[in-house]
Amino acid sequence: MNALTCREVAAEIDLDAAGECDPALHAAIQRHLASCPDCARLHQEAQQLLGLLDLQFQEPDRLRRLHARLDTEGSSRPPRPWLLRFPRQAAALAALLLLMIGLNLTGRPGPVAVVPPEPQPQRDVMPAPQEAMAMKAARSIPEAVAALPPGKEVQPARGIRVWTTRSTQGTFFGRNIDLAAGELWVRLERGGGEQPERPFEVRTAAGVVMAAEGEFFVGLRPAAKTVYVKVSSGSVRLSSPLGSVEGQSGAVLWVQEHQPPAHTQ
Amino acid sequence: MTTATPHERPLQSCTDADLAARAGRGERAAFHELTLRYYRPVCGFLFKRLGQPDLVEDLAQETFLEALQTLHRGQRPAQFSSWLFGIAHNRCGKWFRRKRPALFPGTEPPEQTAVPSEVALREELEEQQLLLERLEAGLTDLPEETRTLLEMKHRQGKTCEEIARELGRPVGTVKSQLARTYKSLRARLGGCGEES
Repeated sequence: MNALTCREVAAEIDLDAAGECDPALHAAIQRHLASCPDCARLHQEAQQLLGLLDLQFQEPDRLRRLHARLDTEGSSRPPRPWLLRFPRQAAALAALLLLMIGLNLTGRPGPVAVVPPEPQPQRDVMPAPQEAMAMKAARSIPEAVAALPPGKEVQPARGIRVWTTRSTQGTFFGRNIDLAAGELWVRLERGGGEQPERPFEVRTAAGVVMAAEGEFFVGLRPAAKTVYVKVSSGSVRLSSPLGSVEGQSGAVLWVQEHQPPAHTQ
Repeated sequence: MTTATPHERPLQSCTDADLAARAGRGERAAFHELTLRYYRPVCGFLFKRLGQPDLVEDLAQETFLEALQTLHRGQRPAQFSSWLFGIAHNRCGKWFRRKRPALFPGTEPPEQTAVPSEVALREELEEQQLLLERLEAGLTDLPEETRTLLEMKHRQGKTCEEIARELGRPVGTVKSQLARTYKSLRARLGGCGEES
């Protein structure tokens, strides 16, 4: 494509910032921006507007997710005086000591199986609680290739649970997922799935997310061609044709098209 | 006649300081009211620094979560808004510090991490509010049909092709209508929010 004039670039600049220009036009605009500070400033303004529009239109959903997170993670009561807290801690310690003594005396495990508490789903990435519908959806195993239902909890295989949001678009590919847009929350139980030796995969245009167990969030921004993964527990790998990164609990991984994956740990 | 205490007043008429105090005592609705007041300005503030809308939600959640936990620990900020923006600013600093080793060469100067003065933060809050007010006014003036297009694009994340298919209209028409709308909204924001 021939070099563009400022006037031609100005006519397309908003759609280009929104990722709506075809690759040849996009490349020509990028070449022009590299040598024209005025148009580059316009492009920056266009990007700013698009970001503000995203914030404006997604505010209700985002606030709902914020409130859900505040209610789960920020709901701790104000600290109580130390003396009031002590009896509870002492009782817990005493119970633990008794249990340990009991185990030592008998030389075999006690009669009570210690079951770790079921971790709560991370509601910050879930849609509004529609528990009954979500539970119903969770019980139904999807077909080998089927569209991902938005705003639902689904179980593509035993030990694999996936929460989608309203903006999620994609399909199941066997026990794996092809994500086209939006977000997912994934929880993989140890040894879960019908083939636990194979990692579970979320495939996207920019890269593939793989994990065997743990919990993580995957977000895909098709316009920016960026995949963004936040690991809550376990270990997650993000691979693209340009490389691969791995992150554990707390890590953030991301990859943008034509760039190697990166991470925060 | 008795005067209502902050506890009895409806949340919408409470000052930020009253709400922060009530939130610190564990009143969930009081903090929700603060999030309604400040969510958008905080997101605008974060977006201006990060330039990546997909990161903004995450850092905004962390900002409000940290604020709530700090209030629970008994801290009472003198000026809630600038205190909140200070937390958001620190969150950005942490994000850049975590990101730099993977993305930026070691020769680059470190990001500025000192918290700006309270006056600077308040000025920035006002600037964000002005920007958002102008945008809101621009959106209010749009015809319903155009707002629907923007909703499909920016809330549902659809492409112009998907929108055109859904509405049964040519892609070119959808694209040119969106381009015109973006241009007019950009003119409404004109100059506001630029780096000083």
